[in-house]
Parts: sequence; C-alpha cells; structure tokens
Amino acid sequence: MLGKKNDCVWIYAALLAGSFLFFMPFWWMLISSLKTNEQIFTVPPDWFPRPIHWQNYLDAVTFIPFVRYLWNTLIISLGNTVGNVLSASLVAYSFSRIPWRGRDVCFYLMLGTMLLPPQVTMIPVFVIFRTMRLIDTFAPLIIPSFLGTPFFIFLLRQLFRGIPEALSEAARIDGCSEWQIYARIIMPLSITGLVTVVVFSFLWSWVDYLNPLIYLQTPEKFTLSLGLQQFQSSHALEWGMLMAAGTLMVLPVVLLFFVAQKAFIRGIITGGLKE
Amino acid sequence: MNGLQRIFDTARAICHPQIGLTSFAILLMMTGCGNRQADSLIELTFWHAWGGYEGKYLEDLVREFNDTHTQIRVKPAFFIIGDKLMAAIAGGIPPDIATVWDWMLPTMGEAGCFLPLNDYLQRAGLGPEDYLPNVWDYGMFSEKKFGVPTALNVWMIFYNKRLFTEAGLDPKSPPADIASLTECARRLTRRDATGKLERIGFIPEFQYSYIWMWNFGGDLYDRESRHFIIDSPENVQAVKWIASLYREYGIDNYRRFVATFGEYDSPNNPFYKEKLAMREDGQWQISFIRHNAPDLDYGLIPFVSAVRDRESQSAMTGSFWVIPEGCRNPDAAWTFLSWLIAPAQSARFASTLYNVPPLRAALNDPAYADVYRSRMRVFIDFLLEGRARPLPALPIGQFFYNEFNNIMEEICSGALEPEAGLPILDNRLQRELDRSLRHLGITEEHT
Amino acid sequence: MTRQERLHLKNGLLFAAPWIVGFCVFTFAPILASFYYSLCSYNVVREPIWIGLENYRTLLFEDPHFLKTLYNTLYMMVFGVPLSLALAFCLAALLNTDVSFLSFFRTVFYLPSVVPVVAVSILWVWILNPEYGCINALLASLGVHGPGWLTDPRWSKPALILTNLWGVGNIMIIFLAGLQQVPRSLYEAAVVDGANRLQRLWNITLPCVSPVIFFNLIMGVIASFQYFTQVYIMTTGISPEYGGRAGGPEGSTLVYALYLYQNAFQHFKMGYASAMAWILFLLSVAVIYVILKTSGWVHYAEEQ
Repeated sequence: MLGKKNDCVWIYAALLAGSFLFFMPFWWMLISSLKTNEQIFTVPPDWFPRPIHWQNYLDAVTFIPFVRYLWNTLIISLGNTVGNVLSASLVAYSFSRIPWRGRDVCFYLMLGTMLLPPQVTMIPVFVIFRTMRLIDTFAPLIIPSFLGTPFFIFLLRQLFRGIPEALSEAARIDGCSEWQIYARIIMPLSITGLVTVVVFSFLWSWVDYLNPLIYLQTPEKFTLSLGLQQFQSSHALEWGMLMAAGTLMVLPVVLLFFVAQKAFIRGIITGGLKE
Repeated sequence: MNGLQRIFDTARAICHPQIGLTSFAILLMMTGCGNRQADSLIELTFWHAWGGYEGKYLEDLVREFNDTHTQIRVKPAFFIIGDKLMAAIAGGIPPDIATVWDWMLPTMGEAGCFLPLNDYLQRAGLGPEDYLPNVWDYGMFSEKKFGVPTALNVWMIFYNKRLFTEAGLDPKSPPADIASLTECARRLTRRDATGKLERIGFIPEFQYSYIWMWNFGGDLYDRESRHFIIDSPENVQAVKWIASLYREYGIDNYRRFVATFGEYDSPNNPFYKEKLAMREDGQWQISFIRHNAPDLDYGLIPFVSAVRDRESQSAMTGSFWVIPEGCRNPDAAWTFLSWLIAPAQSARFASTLYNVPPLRAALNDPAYADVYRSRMRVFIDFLLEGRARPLPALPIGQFFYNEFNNIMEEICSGALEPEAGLPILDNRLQRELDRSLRHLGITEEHT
Repeated sequence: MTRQERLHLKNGLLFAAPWIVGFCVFTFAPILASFYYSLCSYNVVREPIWIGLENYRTLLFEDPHFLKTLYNTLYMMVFGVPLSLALAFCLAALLNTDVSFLSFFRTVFYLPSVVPVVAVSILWVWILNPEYGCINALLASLGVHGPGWLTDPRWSKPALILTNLWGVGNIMIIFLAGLQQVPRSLYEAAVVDGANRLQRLWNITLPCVSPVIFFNLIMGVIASFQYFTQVYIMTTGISPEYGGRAGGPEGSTLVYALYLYQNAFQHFKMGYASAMAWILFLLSVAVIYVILKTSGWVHYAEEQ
C-alpha cells in the first residue's frame, strides 16, 4: 500500500507483536513438554523449563506406539498423494484440454459438490465400505483420493488452462493420442502445480481426524491424529505428556513446510485467487 | 434403493472373504502344505479397557487361558470405551469379546449390537441367586442379558482426616446427616483473599447426583410402568440441596477451580492435593491411594440419608463383557468369557483392581481373602446388604446420561430452578424412551 | 456429432472417469441413501425402518437442542468469520510492504495452519487453562484478571474463535496474493491526487481485493457450518468433572455438527442424524444464496 519510510517503525512493531503472539503457542507447547508436573502447575508459569525434563517424551512414546502410528500415517498420506496426483491430473485434463459435450455441466456439478456438507454422505459412505468389507483397513482412507478430490481437480484445471492450446493442436496433428499429450506435454509443463497437489494431499491426510476415527478400529492401525486423541481421552490432564506427544506430531509437518514452503503458498494462492 | 442394494450385494459377493478364503484353502490343499493344527485354532480378539498394571494383570490371565486351552487363542487389546466399538460393530468387523460401560449395555444391546447370553448362562447353570444382590438385573432392560458384569464398584464419600483435624472437626465422627455434612463442607472450604476457591469441603458431582435423590427418598424410574419419576418432591429436595452447595461456591468459581485439577490416576488427583476435603469416589481409590498417595490419612462415609430411620444408599457402577453381534465364533468367545468370570479368575481379577467380584462364590475365594479383610469390607458389606444399586437399565443410556447432566448443570448454575428443571428432564427422557421403544418394536407401532 | 466430437467425448469421459465413478458411488448414491435414511429409524446395525417425516418433525419442533445448536453455530459464523477475515487482511497488509525479513514473518504467521487439528485443539485447551495457561498468565502480568475461557459459558465460544484465529495463515496468504495483484499505478495516481491512507484503503485496496474477500467469506461460512473436530476434542477432554460430555459448559459449545455426530455415533440415531445433515445442507445453501444475492459490493476486474 506504499508507505512512507517513517511508517516502517510501526509496521515492524506490529509485525513483531504479531509474530510474538503467533509463535507463543509453539513455545508454550515446547516448554510445557519439558516440564515436570510440579513445574507445570505453578503460578506464574516459568517461561523457560529449569531443569529440562525429557521424561515426558519417553512416556509419550511408551504410551503411544509412535513409530507404528507414524508409519500408518505415512502410508495413508502417500496413498492419498499418489491417488490425488493421478486422478486430479487426469480429470483436470479432461475438464480443461478436451472439448467434450457436457464437460461444463460436469465441472459445475463438481464445484457444487464442494458445498455439500460431508455429514450428508458420511453414513451412507460408511455403509458402502462396510458392504465391501473394508472397514478397519486403510482402503476407505485412500480409495476416495483415486476418484478425484474436487479441490485438486479445480486447481490443476486452472493451471492446465493456462498452457497454450496450440501445443495440443500441434501434437494432435502430429498424430499424438490424448494420452500422449497428457503424459508428454501437459504433465511435464505442470510440475510446479503437481508439487502443490502432492504437498497438500499429503498434509490433509496427515492431519485428518474424522475419517480415521470412523474407519480405523484396531489400535495397531491408528494414525497419529487418532492416536493422540485416544491418548488424550485417557490422560486428559497429563499436560507434560500431552504436549510432548503434540510436539512430536507437529514436528514432521513443520519440517515438511520448510522443505516445501513455495509449493504451499503457491497452492493456496492458485486455489483461492483464480475465479 | 433396490438397484443400489443389488450393486452392494454384487460388491459384497465379490469382496466376500469366504470366497477368498475358500480359494485360498483349495490352493493350500492342492499344494499340500495345509497346516491342520492352524486350521482348528480359533483366534479371538478381546478388547478390554484396563491400562497400566491392571491391564498387564488381565493380559496375564488371558495368557493363562491360552496355555490351558489349545483350541482357542485369545488376543487381548487395550481400547478406550467410546465411539470406536459402535463403529466396529456397525462396520461388521467387531472384536469377539469387548468391554462396555454399564449405561451402554442396554442401549447398544437392544439396538442389536450384542448377542443375548441367556442360553449360555442357563447352560452354565448361573442364575440370580449366584450373584450378589441387585446384580442379576443390573444392565438388563428387557429379559435379555446382553453382557456379564466384569467387576463391581461401590461409591462412598472419602474424607481427608488431616483436614478435618485442621478445621477443628473430629475425624472419628464424620457427618451422619445432611445438615452436618453441609456444615462440614462449609468449614472445610477455603478461599483466598480475593474469594478464589482454594479448597472445596464437599461438592456432589452432577453425574452422581442420583445417589442423593435416592438418599432423599426419591427414585428415577419405575420399571413396571416404564415411566420416569424424576420430578418427585423428594428429588426436588435433593437437587435443591445440591444446587445450594454449587450456588454457595459460585458456579464460575467452581468451574475455574476444577480447571486446576490434575490427572485423576496420578499423585496430582485433587483429593490427594487437598483441593477436595471430601469426595465421592469408588472403592478402587483404596488401591489408587496406596499407589499415588501412600501417606494420605483418609476415612469413609457410606453416604448419609436425609430420610429418618432409613439407611443410606449408594450406587453400584461398573462395566460389562459382551459378545458383539457379528462375532465369528460366539461359542469359543463364551468358552473364554465363562472361564474369565468363573470364581477363581474373577476373584483374582477383582482383587488386583480392588473391585468387587459379581459372583457370591468369588467373594470367598482364597485369592480374594486379603482384599476382603482390607478396608474393602465396608463396601462389600454395603453390596451384600443390597444398599448399593445401579442406575436403571435403559435403552437410551447415553441420552439419559447427557440430558441428566445438562439439566443438573443448568440447575446448579442457577439457570433453572429444581421445581422447573426436573419436570423438563422427566418429560424429555420419557418422550425419548417412548420413541425408542416404538422404533425398537418393543411397544406397538403408533400411527 | 462429427467424428472429432465423438472422439473428444470418448476421451473426455475416459479421462474424467475417476471423478465420474467417484461422484456416482461416493456422492450421488450416498445423497439418495442419506435422504432415504432420514425418513427412517436406522441404527446401522439393524435394517432401516420407514417412519416418514418423523425425524424432521421431531428435529424442527420438539428437539430442545436444535435452536441452541443453530445459535451456537451462527455465533461462531457471525463473529468468527469476519474476525478471521479482518485479522488475515491486516496481517496480509502488513506483509505487503517493503520491510525486510518478510519471509520470516510470513512463515511465523502461516506455520500454525499446518499443525494437525488434534494437536491444535489439545494445545489450546492447555493455553486457555484459566489458572495455569499462558494467556491468563500474560493477562495477569498486564494486571488483567483473565476469564475462565472454556470453563465459562460466556467465554467458551470466544475461546474457540481465538483458537481459530491462530490458524488464519491460509486466508492471509490468499489476501497477500490478492494485494500483490493490485496495480501499483492506481496507488501512485491516488497519491498524486492527494488521497490519504484511509481513502486509498477504502477506494482502491478494498474494491480491488473484494473478490478475494468474497471467496474467503464463502469458504469461511461453509467451514463454520461443518465446524466439528476442534470443538469435539476441546470440550470432551476439558474436564472429567463434566462426565466427558462434549459441547459444555451448559451446552454453550454444542454446535450443529457436534450434535449431529452425537446423535449418529453416541445415540445411534443415524436416521435422525441424516435428517440433521439435510437440514444443514439446506441451511448452508440458503445462507450462501443470500450472500450471493447481496454480493453487489464485489468488484470484478474486467477480463484481460
């Protein structure tokens, strides 16, 4: 908004104050995880744990089979990622690069489904998976991603539309099939967008709670989110341990964010800005 | 829906595990490496709700069963009783044996979640007289027995003797009527200069306020007519008394105070931390205190009756073992269950938990003798005298629980007066019960 | 249809097949089934029993919690959505300047959005603890006696909104991108015309990013109708003294989706829950329709 230089002080002050407030919960989680119960229940609180108490992490990992849940979550997240990249790119290709009759109707129908509360379909979808005997497997958490997630289809469609149509035309004249155009021209040109899909579908299934809650029953199959919540429902007031478990759970996504920061931000912008 | 159903059926046929299993079995037979021993071994999954040393002990018992029963292999797993079991049963992949809280048993049972065990119990020769008083009917709404009790709990008021002395009260003669209980509660309560609560003398919890209704001479439900009787004058009196305590502390003060409580099963339990001078609790506290606060000097008040010449009453609570609908091998599951509930095993399990075994025979088992001789005796005698009874078994258990607590909370916060609140509660519960009975086909369809 | 058109149709359908299958199996059929269930007494274990409109009748005219849950949901929407839009906009405006360390600040503001909701919920219950939590500790150091937050029916919804505000990073980034697309020439012209800061905000920035505000508004409204996980976790574990009921204290956080979940998975009334889901759908469509109808304030730039 074009500020004068002497406004800078105020902007910095506001930014610093904001950062302090936004960062504090992380700090609070970290220090609480490193405190003993006696240190936790003190007024006013210590802002630095003295001495550092690592036991909570050991306890949390003993109570929650952390590695196992990490592995489960990883498998589900990777499954979702593969599914979404495949399905979203195929469908987006159809919705953007092939002029077929009824395409726009389908596209708007798809956008419409984004307004449908998941609660409407939750119970029947559960019944469908039960009929297929897939409850308590990872399948109900992965299969839907292979059938296209509207948000990702929308995102890639916007991207594919930006690629000049002339490229496709030339390829068609050269005798390329649609499949070849998709695989050899469009996909390589959209790597950045695909990375966004990868990052977001990974993150969303990583943080998902409701679906694992409904579909996974055997404790060995739980995800991290579900494991943490189940742990909380039996140790609601063991704050040190809860914060340790929370820190362990947050760490991977924060790392993922730092590795793929650009893709995150691009994804949000493309999803939110266009149309 | 028919078309849809047909698609489902086809999908079910394709995905049916038996088809897969059969082809697998044929394959095995053709290759000749079928393992006969493995074929006849029945595997059962057993969801129990005990963590820590209690869970370890239960799993030791399971191992003992596995060692003595070569045909059955039971796989125990700890789970948190809650929404998961329903989802597992609804999803058609239930465990073979599971654990549920008492209020869930008739609700889920009548909804078709559990197998009735009447025939099994009859064949085992178990009847009402084998159990402690009030236990046979426990958790039973219609005539069907959907589960067997794991171990019983009895409630009493635990009080901190040191705090009694400190407040100038005699720890040897705890309050024996409502007036003195109220007076003790007042004298034991401590606030800081700003009026913030530092200690509460006594506060009945919403969820157990039905015990006080009983002690004021009221009741909740009439089993014969299937009608709630919550809005009786006795209950109004009981709730008025409870509400008066909450209003004296101030509901906001109380809630802030509760937010400072530490974990229940840990040295930070507010009773050990002297934040509560008296507390309603179950007999397992005897063992918990031994683990978490061995130096605590405490006494027991077996509740107090507000009705002259009437003995005080207490609550019996607990959990049940069930065989869920869809269990692949109910006979084997029962073989395990009947072993687990037999006096020898039941006595050992109950003695580890400091619970009361449901069968009379188990009480006199040598494995239970030490516990029986301990402070548990008061609780056991209470049960034997029939003074501890459970909440009415209802097919709307969770609904009852939620609404009961909602209304109690509104009354205690001052949003509702007891005279107005209890009829609302009565009315809501009755309507839900009638609706539920109609939908379950227990009463005839209305038009 | 020409040969070309037929080929396109074939390929188009082939490529769109995953979504078409998914739509039929996981959206369309479930919509029909859910409507059928809403007319039944159904607990998933037994076959559904037809009861006509009873579920809807009970829900709309008899259920004592229906209006309360609607009120709670609308409260979260009416206060929560504008607040998060405003905060996100302010942060984005601060970041849309020439200060250094921009990417650092952006990261700090965005990072909470990637934290799993279960972890966020548990963490904030602890942050909001009236006695030992850090918010009330900070307030106390300012000489303010902090409220009881989640333990106080008057403060529980503000507490949830506060928790939500921590995660405005997503919205902020969208605003930031919108702000960066506002042509600089417009500001320069305005400065020449002597417009002050407020006038530039009102006459240039807001109209230019109004489509972004609109998008975020719609998304926020949809999300608040479906708001569940956080309130479920934050109010279930809060205090065993309340018997582990979610939605407390005094039902002040019993939002619509939470009550729906309780009916479905705790009271086993799937038919009733389906009816609730349909009412929820109709309500969200109605609210979004109203927002669309009153969207005259949104200025769309002409297509380039």
